Amino acid sequence: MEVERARVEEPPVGMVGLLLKRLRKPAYVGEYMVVAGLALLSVFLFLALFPDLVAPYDPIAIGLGPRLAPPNSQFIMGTDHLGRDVLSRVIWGARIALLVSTSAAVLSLVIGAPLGLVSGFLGGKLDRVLSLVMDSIYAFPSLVLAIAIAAVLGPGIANVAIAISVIYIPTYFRVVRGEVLVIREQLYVEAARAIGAKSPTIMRKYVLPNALPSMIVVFTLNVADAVLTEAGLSFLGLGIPPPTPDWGQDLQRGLEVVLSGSWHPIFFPGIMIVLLVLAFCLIGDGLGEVLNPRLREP
Amino acid sequence: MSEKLLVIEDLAVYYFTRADVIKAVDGVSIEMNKGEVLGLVGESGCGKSTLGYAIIRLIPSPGRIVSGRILFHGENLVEKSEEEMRDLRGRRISMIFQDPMTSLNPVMKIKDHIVETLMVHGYEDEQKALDRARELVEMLGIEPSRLEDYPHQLSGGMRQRIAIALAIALNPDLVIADEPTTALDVIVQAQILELLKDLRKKYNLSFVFITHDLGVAAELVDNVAVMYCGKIVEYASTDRLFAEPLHPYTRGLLRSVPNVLMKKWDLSPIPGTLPNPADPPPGCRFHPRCPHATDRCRREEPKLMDVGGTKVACFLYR
Amino acid sequence: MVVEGLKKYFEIRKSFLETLVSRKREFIKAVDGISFEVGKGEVLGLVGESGCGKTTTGRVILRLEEPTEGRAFFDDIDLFSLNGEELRKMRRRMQIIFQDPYASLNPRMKVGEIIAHPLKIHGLSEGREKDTVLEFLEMVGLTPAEDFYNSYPHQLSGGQRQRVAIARALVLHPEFIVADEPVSMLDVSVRATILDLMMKLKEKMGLTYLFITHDLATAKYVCNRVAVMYLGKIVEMGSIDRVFEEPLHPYTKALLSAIPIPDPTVKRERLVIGGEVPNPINPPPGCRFHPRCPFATERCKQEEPQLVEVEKGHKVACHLAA
Repeated sequence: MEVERARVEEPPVGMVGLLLKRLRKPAYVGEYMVVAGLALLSVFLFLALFPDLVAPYDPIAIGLGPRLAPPNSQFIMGTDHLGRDVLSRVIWGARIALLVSTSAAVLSLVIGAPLGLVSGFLGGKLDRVLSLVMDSIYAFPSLVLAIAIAAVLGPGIANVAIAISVIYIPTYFRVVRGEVLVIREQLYVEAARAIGAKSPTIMRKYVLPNALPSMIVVFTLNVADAVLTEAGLSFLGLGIPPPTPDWGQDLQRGLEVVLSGSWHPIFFPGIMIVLLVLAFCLIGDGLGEVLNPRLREP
Repeated sequence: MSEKLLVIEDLAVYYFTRADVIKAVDGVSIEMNKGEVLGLVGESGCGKSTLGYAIIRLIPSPGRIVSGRILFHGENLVEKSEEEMRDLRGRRISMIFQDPMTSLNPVMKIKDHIVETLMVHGYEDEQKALDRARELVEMLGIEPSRLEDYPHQLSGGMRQRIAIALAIALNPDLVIADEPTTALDVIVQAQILELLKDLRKKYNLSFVFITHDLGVAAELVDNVAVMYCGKIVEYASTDRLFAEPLHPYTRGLLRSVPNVLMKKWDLSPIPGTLPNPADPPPGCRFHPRCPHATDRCRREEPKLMDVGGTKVACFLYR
Repeated sequence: MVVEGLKKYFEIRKSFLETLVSRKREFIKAVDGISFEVGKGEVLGLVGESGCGKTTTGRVILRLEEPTEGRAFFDDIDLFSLNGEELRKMRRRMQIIFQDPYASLNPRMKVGEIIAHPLKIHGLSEGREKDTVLEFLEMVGLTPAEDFYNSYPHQLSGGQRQRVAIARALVLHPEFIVADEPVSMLDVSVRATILDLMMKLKEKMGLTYLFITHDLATAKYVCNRVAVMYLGKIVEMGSIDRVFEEPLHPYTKALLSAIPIPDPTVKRERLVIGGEVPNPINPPPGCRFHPRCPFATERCKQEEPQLVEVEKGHKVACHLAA
């Protein structure tokens, strides 16, 4: 009997490998976006991991210099109303921003995605009840909800993360459920049933891996959103308690002095928020394009 | 010698994707007379559809005609502007697609499809256009009352009849039919084939008929060009090609299709898989799957040569 | 395999408003009372045009779809009375090969995992799964097996994918296979290779096939017997030789004469019938084929013909032939 020769042109790689290979030689707008976003993010990661290597001063030391000194050679971004170094606070602030936003997004992913998976796959009454609950959370203005939860829980890193995660659970639920509704009708799921696989196995090995790309995209975009929400909560005094360096908190203090002509205490934390959000948005939107083959070349 | 309706000279159409250049059509020359039905036969990816789309200059991006000429009534279509082509399409060259659902606008009535086509190309009076539309659908075996329907209300066979009506509405000189019966069930396919045979007899229509089904080709076409990996490997009259296939690929293909009338089917399929058109094998593109391949086939590319009336690109015959 | 009076109706979902207006529930009668047997080691072809219910029949027998009515026995086991766990055990003995090899393989699993998964589910060849998988890869002609073991479906051609699907179905050593149009999505030159492979494996592993196809020419060469379906009913059933040489039902005749012959020298008198397959929600009364039948009589319009044996092993449902 004649045999077909293997024609394996590319080394066998999974999704991540394929993505890495593509990103090493970007050619599409989406891929450039991911690369740019990752580059920007790695700067923030470095700041968050090794702030003591980069920051020139102690971020909480009061009276390092004169109050509200404009940017100069000693304090590159000037000093705030307590004479603290803005540059150092901005650098240390990256740690809080990343920590809170990522843990919030992870928490909501861990809760929302499995619920969406089970709900979408099994359907029936469970699905109706869960969808109703999730839709009501989703319909609620998110920042208001976060404020309410944060107010109940009180300030603190963990509490802020929990408050933010609650508002994103419905996002994962809806996205994953929507994907699962499509995937469970695929022929390979029926093929799995034909070989005698049980529902949990089918969900784990057939449905979940195929829903993963959209989950990753939603995750990155959620982190971006969470950065903003965290800053918002801190701005309102419901977030990270002082003196921990936090961008939202610094924005609020900066607001008090901006009218007297000191622009720098509010400008630099603001820029940092914008850049970090931009980094995650670039990655998220870019990945969305790269991972969704329908948008790619014919 | 009458003037040729269509002459294609050394045509090459490549798709420029990011990773590769896919040579979908790579140096094809062919010609046809008025009133002829030319069959382009081959498997998926052989370039038969691309060739069809090239004639009417509707190659999807990122494809481009890289070289060669397409002479239609002596005029080179490759050099025509988009404007000139638009005027030509529908009026002098028209096309029938595999899935009529994609070529009909779902929110337009059948009537409006035909009337619009007619009005774009010279009909001034809407009533006259409507009369012509009625005449057309009747000719194709559809009740004129169906003109008031929307495409989704028609069955697959009726939709394909409408697509044919649209294609021949303006008495074009050439109709390109891209797998027009592939999506249909056998009985409806037979109906459409009978219809096409009738129409060509009555109106002396010229068709380029693209199909992967040798049975369909045998029924309808006068001359067959067998394509493999962007090249024509064999080109002959239908009778000659089926009676005496020369190229090993054509022979393999003919042995791969069952014939209900035969007692036994000698299953002797072609080994291996279709080559990747982005990276075709050197020399003769069929050599990795060919039982007669020699060293020469691996190095040198055979040209299409006349062997007793059949044109074949194979070193076995020289 | 014995199937008796199998019916499968799909309810048409209506909008809320429509249910308010009318209480009547409408059904698509995909399969409407069919009976047949498949002997051990036999290949029964289930032939018909799209919408005739042939695919649904295959899926219901394997309980991928729940039957509306009827019974099916495999080796004297009542398939439709099995509960979840019994059914899962039964799946070892009955497998399916799907039409579309591009959709039937999980894109996120390597070929090796795809074929090994049935073994894991049923706890077979524990610890030696990889060896078994490699053995089956070679058996379906995917060599070097080691290369294919680690590749993903998207790296393979259609024919190669269908070989993977065949290996997945056979790795459990089933006895009965539903082959649902296994070659219709493949290229012409690849079809014959896959059919050839399926027939060789049938001999080697002692399989029984229910071969679903719209292509009578293919059926002729792979099947021992054939059942022709029209609008959810079997209209003719018999040995390949008899049905192809002397078709009795007008629909079978029309189907046969509609097949294009890859030989321009053959000139045939065609039995061209008009129209298309009607809506299976409200099939015509009497004989379902009568509106398109050139020989229809008054009786055909009123009375539904039963499938009767006209000669040994050759059954037909037509008033004129019986």
